[in-house]
Amino acid sequence: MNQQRLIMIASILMLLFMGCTRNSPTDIQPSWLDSSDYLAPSLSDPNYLVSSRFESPSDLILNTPVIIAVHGFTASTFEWQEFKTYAEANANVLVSLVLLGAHGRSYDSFKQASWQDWAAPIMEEYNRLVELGYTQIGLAGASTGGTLIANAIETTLWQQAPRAVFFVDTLVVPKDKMLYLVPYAHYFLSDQKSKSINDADRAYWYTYRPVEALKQLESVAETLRSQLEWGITLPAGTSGFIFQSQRDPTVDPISAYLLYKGLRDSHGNRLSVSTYDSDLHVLTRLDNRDLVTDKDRQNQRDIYTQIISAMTP
Amino acid sequence: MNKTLFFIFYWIFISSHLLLARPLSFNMLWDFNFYKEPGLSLSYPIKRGLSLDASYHTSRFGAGARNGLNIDHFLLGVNWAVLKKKNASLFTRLEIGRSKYELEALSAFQFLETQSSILALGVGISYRFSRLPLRLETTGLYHLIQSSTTKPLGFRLGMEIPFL
Repeated sequence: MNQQRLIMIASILMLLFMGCTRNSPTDIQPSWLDSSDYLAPSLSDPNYLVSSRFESPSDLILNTPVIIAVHGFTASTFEWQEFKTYAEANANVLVSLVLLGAHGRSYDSFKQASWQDWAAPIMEEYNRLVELGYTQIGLAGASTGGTLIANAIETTLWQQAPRAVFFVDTLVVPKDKMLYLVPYAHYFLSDQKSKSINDADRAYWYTYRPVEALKQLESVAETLRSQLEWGITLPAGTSGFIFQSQRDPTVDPISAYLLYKGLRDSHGNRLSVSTYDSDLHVLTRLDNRDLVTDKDRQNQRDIYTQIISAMTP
Repeated sequence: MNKTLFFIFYWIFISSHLLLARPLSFNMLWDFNFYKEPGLSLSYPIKRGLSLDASYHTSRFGAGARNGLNIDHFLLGVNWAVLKKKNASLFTRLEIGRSKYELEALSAFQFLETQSSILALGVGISYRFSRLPLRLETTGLYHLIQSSTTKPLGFRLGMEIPFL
């Protein structure tokens, strides 16, 4: 009996020890975004953010619609680069590429940050643009970027309301339901190494997803689910658009339905929803992707057109 | 909704027949699944330690009534008390059933599933009060088959009032 008890105690201690001694990955290459040797270019280049791009913006620039584009979990500004190139070449809009907090830096900084840290640069850029005098600002979020924007809508007292908000494959319910277990089992889990990204992508996405970051991801999704349940109202004058890929491999498409049910404009109207016959997650970005169909390109163009139309008079 | 009512009455009907032979008990349940979903069940003891139950859980009174999904779960379960000590018992549970989702008729959402199967295994503890016609139980469930909204791990609180 004593021996059994001893084995049980030893097993528990071993499991706890395994959980506590989780080491940083050792195979991080200097060219990867996870490496502390390589920083995302948006951290040093002022051209990524509209607020730092123009030193003294003219009235014409201040009245040009600005779309703050927010990338998703583990990604970087690259996710919206294609949209920026298209939109600024084909329409009278500016695109501000925000890098989420703790993203584009290093594995260690990502591991230590909370989802509130991730979200902070969104409102920092928004408030800077308002202070500078920009009059028409929109917010577009891909995946977790949309989750963070929806949370900001619920929790911010807006001095100047956004003109429109766009949710692309926004995370409310994850496709992989094991994410729900992370808060309970994180001591016994190891970091996830992303298998879906190719070598070229490792400079734009974190390869490793620390358990701590996954825990934060579940926390922000849970927060939004609860907020949507009680209802989120957009500020007066803000319109909203939901885009969802029908066979999204990362976000459960039921997320779009929960956004549709939980979000209303200031008149109490439901938001516009478009779903797309696609297998891709965040089909606004097709660069560097292996299997892209003509339909995906058509869908991408349709989303771009809807976003630009909503921002331009 | 008519089908929902049909299922409830069907189970009550079947359970009433069983009631002729064995005492039936009525349970109020609180399921911590995707939402917090209240439910009702009728359970029927087969023999020592083994019981069958039929239950209905819904989000219609909580999240569904606000802005969440209207989810209905119809479940059949088998409980087996593996360990009994005084008024407390440890039991295992197997449940099967179906979940149904009521989605608003919008062409954009026609691709979404409106029902799915459920298969779950669980472990729970229950406590029967000596002087009160009341039993409390808590169950942890692992979903072997899960719908798009079901969490792999569920948690349920129950209160049983034997009415015969």
